[in-house]
Amino acid sequence: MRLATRLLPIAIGGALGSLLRYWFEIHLGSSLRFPMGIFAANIIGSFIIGITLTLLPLVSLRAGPLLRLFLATGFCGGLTTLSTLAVSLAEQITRLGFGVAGLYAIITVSAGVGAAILGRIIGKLWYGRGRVVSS
Amino acid sequence: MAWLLVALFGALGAIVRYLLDRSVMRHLATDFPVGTLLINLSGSLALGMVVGLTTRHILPIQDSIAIGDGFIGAYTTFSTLTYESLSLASTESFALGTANMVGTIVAATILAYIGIHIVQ
Repeated sequence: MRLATRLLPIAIGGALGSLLRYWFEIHLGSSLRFPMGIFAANIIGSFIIGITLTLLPLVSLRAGPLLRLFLATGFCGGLTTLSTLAVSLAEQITRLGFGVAGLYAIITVSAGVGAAILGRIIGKLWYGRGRVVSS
Repeated sequence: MAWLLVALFGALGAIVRYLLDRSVMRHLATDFPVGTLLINLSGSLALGMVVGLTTRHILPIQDSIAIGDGFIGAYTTFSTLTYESLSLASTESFALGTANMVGTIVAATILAYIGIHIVQ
């Protein structure tokens, strides 16, 4: 696949993911104590990447690579962010103390890992059902 | 207008992440996701600086949205970190996966703190 062919789905996915993250930040709030917008973006993105990377290699060899670049690299990568999480944690530590930051970090990591695992399980179940139906 | 900036710079951030990760992983013969680590750490330092400069009113809010929410937001990634940590935990060792996840977040927070304060 040519490089330009690969960059286009990443750019479109990245733009859409970034827009959704920005929408979450504005509408779900970004209070220092618990920045809900970034939290939601990170958890939803981890869930979608879990499904995508589990399901795509199994389902479609032809459309798989492009969909993967669009959904995983582009959309989920653009939707989720580590830098904003890191800055939030740094500011929480400075202004509200380690307790608040530690709690936000622990909740984010547990929910993120949990969402990705759930995505993988659903991806596998989904594939299993599809095979049963098609056979 | 802000929406357009976020979309445009977000697309750019995702592309730079992909190209950088690809070239790092090509040059280093390792299964450890060094590319994502490098991206997340550099992005956290950079966003810290952007936030610091915005707080000091050196960087206009419009530029802060484009660079911070758009470019750096899309450049760094939490979902890939989570997925790669899970993969490390299942293929290599649970300790290595946990270390990647926790280590990245701790180091990124320290770098973000440094970023905020070196520009002030």
